Amino acid sequence: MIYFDNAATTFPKPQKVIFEAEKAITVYGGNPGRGGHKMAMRVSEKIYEVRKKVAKFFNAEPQNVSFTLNCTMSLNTAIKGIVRKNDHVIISSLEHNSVIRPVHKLSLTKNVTYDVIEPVIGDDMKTVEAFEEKINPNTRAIITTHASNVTGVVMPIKKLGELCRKRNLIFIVDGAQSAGVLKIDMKENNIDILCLPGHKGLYGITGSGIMIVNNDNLGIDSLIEGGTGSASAEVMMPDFQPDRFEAGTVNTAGILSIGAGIDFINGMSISEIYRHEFDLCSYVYNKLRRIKNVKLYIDDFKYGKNLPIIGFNIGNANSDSVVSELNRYGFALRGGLHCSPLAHRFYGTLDSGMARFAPSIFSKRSECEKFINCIELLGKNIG
Amino acid sequence: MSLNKRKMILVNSITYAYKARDFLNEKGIKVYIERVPASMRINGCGYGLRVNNDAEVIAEILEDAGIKVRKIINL
Repeated sequence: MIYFDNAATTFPKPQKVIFEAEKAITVYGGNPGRGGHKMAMRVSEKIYEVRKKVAKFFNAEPQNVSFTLNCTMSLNTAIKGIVRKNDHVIISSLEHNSVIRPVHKLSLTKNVTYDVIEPVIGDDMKTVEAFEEKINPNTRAIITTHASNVTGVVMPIKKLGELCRKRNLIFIVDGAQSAGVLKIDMKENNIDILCLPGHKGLYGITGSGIMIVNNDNLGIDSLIEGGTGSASAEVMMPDFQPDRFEAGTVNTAGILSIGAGIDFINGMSISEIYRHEFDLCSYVYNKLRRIKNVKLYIDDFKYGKNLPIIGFNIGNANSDSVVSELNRYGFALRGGLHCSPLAHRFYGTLDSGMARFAPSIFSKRSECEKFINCIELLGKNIG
Repeated sequence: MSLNKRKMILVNSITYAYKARDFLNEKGIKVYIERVPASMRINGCGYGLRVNNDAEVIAEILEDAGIKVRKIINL
């Protein structure tokens, strides 16, 4: 199988990640932050080391790094934790369901209102202006993906961060697709809350996520309450991070795998990873453009403006049937709506969905050539 | 230094204990992270920094660095 579904989860994982995840079971078997014996302390220290790595990677403080079970949990915690009754929030039209669903639920339960902004592709200033136009006195936050998980289009988070700072809004960024591929500096981009999966570009295992809150004054409510190993005689959750957002035993294997994944990325440099994946996508994009019957949804593939993701269709075929055919030929891609109906509405593909090509650092040019040969074949037979 | 002169600096959580330890280590101050003895807990389970001397000075250094000290206890 040639795996091009790395936007869903990266595969394969670096050997070091596998080794560390295994060590979580065989070596670091204690419960972190829950006892004083050697095994508990050893794993607690190991987890703190990963907290430091994550903090350094995104330019934050270690105690502001909370480990969650996935990016969706991070986004739910962030959104539901800061949005109050009658607040207004602004999101982009490229959001995943992990943003629109919690926001929409708040509109039902807390009378929250929201606007969905369509980005002006290729014109960051106009995109930012469109967000600014919707700010009203009740606006609490701007919530945006860093990059579309459907087409890889990168949002102007630096400019949006400046807008949030200027207008005193909370800035929440969903880094699900970009983390580990594009550099994200929380301070430079004025990001208040950054939500991340561990298992995509950070090369950790599934069931791991991160929420980084780079602002001590947000007063974010907890999403889940329970044991934290701290202040345990109190009935209220601790008011300090990360304990406030880490109720229950954490996923040691997931956390250790994230640490190993970051080591792997740092061992190469993030720009080297992006360059490799971008070059593969550029090659595939330019080949796809020339194949009759293939539909693409971005006009150009630009360095820094596009993540290594290409959404496409063949003729009028439904994307699920396209990826099903590709599966028969030994290629793993995802079709459908990618849990991002807003984005598919924006691109006019709510009915067909898109097939999504997403390589990783482990993908090879020869695999892309085989993929193109297969698409040429399917292009003649489908649609 | 006899054992009964040792003190423990209580901080918010184990994460802050590690942050404090790293910060102090960079300054050449050796401390040890331990679970707070049951009889000396403030509001349930917690961790602290065991120090052999100068607990008050060390606590002040931590406060200056933005690391909240909850209490200093005699072990």
